[in-house]
Amino acid sequence: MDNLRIRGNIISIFIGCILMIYIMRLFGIQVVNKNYEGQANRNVIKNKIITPSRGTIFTRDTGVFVTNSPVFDLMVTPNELIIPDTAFLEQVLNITKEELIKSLKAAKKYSPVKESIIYRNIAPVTRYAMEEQMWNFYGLSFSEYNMRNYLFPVGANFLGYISEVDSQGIKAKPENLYQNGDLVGKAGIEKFYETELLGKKGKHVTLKDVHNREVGSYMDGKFDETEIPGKDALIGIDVRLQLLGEEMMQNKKGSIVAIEPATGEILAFVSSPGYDPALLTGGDLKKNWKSLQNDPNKPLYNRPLMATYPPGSIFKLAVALAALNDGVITPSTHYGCGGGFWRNRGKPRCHGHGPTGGLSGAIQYSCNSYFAAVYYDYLMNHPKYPDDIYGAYNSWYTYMSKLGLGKKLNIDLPFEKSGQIPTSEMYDNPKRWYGKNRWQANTIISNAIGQGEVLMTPLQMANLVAIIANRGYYVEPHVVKSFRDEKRNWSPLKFNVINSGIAKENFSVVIDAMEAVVERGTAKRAFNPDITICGKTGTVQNPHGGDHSVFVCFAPKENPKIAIACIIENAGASGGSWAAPLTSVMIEKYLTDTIIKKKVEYQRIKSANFMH
Amino acid sequence: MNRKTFDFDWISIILYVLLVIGGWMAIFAVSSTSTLPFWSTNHGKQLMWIGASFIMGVIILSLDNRFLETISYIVYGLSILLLLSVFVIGKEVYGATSWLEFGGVSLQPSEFAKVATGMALAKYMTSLNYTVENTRNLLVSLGIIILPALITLFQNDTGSALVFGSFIIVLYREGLNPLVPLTGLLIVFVCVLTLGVNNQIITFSILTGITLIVFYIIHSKKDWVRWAIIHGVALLLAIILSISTNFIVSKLQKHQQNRIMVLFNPQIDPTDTGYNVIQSKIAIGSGGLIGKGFLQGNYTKYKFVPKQVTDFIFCTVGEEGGWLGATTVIVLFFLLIMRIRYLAEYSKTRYARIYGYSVVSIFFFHVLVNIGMTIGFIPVIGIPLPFFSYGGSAILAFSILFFIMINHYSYRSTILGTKP
Repeated sequence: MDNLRIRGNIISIFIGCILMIYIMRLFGIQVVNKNYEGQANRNVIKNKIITPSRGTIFTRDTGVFVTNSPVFDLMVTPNELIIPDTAFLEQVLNITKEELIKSLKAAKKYSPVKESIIYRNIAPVTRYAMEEQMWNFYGLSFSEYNMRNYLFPVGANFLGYISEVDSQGIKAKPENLYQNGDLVGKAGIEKFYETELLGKKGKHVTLKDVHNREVGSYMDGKFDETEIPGKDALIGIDVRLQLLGEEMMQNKKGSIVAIEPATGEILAFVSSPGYDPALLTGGDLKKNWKSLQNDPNKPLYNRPLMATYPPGSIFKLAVALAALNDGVITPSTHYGCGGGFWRNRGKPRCHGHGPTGGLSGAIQYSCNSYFAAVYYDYLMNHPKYPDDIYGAYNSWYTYMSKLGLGKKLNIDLPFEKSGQIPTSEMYDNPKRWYGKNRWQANTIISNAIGQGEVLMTPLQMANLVAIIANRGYYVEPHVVKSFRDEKRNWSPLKFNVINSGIAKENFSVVIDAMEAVVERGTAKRAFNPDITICGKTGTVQNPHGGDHSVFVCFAPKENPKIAIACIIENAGASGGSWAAPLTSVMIEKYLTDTIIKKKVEYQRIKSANFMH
Repeated sequence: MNRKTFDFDWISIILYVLLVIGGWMAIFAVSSTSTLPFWSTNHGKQLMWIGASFIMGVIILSLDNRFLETISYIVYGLSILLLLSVFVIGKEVYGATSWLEFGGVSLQPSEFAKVATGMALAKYMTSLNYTVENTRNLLVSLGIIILPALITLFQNDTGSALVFGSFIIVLYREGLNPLVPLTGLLIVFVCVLTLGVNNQIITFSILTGITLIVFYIIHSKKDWVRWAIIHGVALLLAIILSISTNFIVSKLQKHQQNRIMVLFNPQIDPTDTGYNVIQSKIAIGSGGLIGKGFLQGNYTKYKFVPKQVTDFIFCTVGEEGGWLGATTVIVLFFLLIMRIRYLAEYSKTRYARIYGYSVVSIFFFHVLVNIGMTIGFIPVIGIPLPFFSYGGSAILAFSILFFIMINHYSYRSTILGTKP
């Protein structure tokens, strides 16, 4: 036991020695080394984060489209806070004492030693007036930041908006990228290109004296980091077209998507009802966002990307292309109509129309029986997959996929929906659908005319006509075409080109028929004697009300410059009566910069109201 | 009652009260500029907790020591449950999820787990036929220590988890092979040397030199070959350890790496990780020999040191009290720890001795790490300085820890063996 008692003494000696070393070390720091004392009187290191200005957005026709304007935030470092007089702050900021204390408490909860915002959007004039009065305030400072300034009240749906980063965003990697109160892109290209538009934050390390006065830069700026401004973005949007589209879509629900076929650039991207992007800037952002969020017409819902519709008759174009390419039909293949698809007891039914002749006439008159027959033969009498509906169906599915359907198109906007092309596995599901080998062509015949389980976004509709306009391929659609590099040159982004695998001559057949649709078929209202427009109407039955009016087209026929899709929800009329003339107005405006030929249609559409 | 009333160890109680007063003054010095109502300021709230601690002390002193001994395992079990409950209902503070909140009062269960572990360890080690030499007994003792340590580690509270390592002192006192703590110290030495020198060849030369000197001193002429082999193997192990230290540090995340490396050179990153250490040393250094005087420490008053009232409270002591003040506080801690060690050693029961050494270990470790951190000896590990750091859980837990020991010692004059 004595041995263990000795251990107790060893422990004492050990503890004593270590604390002795500590006391000696303190003597070194406090008494011997005089440097520290001097430093405490002069030098206190403070980090100042500099947020770079966000990239400006340009368009090709207007130049500057979205800019920044400076405003100031009042920042607080709770642990340093000494306010001799709260009344001054209350008066100048026009807030009550309770509000002030509440925001100070919130700041302290976030971090007692880091800066947080207690009041936003102080105009430059107010800021300088306040600074004169605040010489004996500690722990308060101003931080300049840039608010978005929208020069045109359009395009909110693809521009998106920026607002305060949430707690998840603060935690996200890379660490410390965002501090409380930083602005971050929440939707649209502001979100998608956050990294490019944000730039890189800078850091300025300063020295302050014990009275919290800034006395200079620490170690001549050795640890400073220069901020890099956000990159300027050039978008393909044609502002004239965007303005015209949003104007014509007033009092209607729906979308317009216009694409330049050769490049995949989005020319117009209308979601209706929309909102003025300026609503989501400045002090009322949260309030306005809430009221937009609660609006039953869902203005925040980005319809061109997120709304999925049965495409209706425009889908017949895709069916025709797949069937032609696999040799299931030839341009001259003829199927009789008789008001319905005879092989399925008259379903789907067809409307009365003139004799179709071959494929061209069937597209021109949009004959349901004809395309039901094509789809039937594709699945049941496929030359490569005789008696193999699964082989035939999967081949069809592959074509649809190559036409950009049933999948995301990788547009540079967040929250894109993929639409739906049902897979054979889906139909094989016995609980929700039919079960393996328990379905055949007639079971799913509605797909032939775009009314079954097929769903498309307006973006996919526009992209489909872009493929037809290009006779076989598409460039992934995109809003931003280039960013300005360090040397202030526009450096174009690269986009994938995707080939449909469908032969060029098959497109000619379909395109000729689409020309006839506008010239003498279902879309005569879109006809313009000066411009050859090729299009296809769709009239989509839906359970929510009147039919959706759908039209897709491109123009001119040779060397196409623009491909458009338009869907007007619950117009209660065919695609030919509303969507078709609307796109024709857009095309005339885009190609001739005037609205002369289609002026009457323009007035008529503008004044129509389908939102009751 | 089989003890004389008020026959407590007044020396340690006086030391305790002096430290509590000093601690409160330090907190007051930092937060006196606050414009909040008194009971909402840090010093006001701390005063409330000090009051609660005194009341708790009186309650503990009025209890029977056998009762305290009997409930050891129950207290331990409850504290483990409390630790686990943090995962379900805990809240996050500074990245560590180790807090519980009850009606506006935050508690950190890991603080109380230290007390409970000391009690459970003492209880287990006084059980019949217990010896540290028995491997099974030793493993169970280690288990009692490691379980709460692991849970706190999972709460991201590395500092509190490390505290449990100090119980090795208790095991050493109770007969653990001295090679174990010695090896531990040597490992720490090799790691510090490796990182401090930061040059493998010089490190290896120093290690070889030390080995040769030690060999020269303790080798015996008779079987020097055996001694040479032992030293050779030790040197080889040390070199392997040194290499792996470098390797492990290089694999750590950047901010963890920085935390370690700023010890050797705070200028590596003076704006971020090195910031705390630099600011802390400036604050302490500015105190000089006699300090700036109570409430005159403008460096700490303007809160240029982060976590001023909690982890870095010692800066205020150093700035306002100077070297004399800081030394006084360290000496008071030394005296308190020595006094408790004395109480432990001369208690009548084994339970009291083992528990007493737990108290010694915990206090010592906290002082060692917390003050070491403020003077740049030890990486920035967030554990409180007993009685000084702001925080209700800490002062309450340290007080309970202390008063249980005082209670046990007060039974020293009763009949030998209080076990029924």
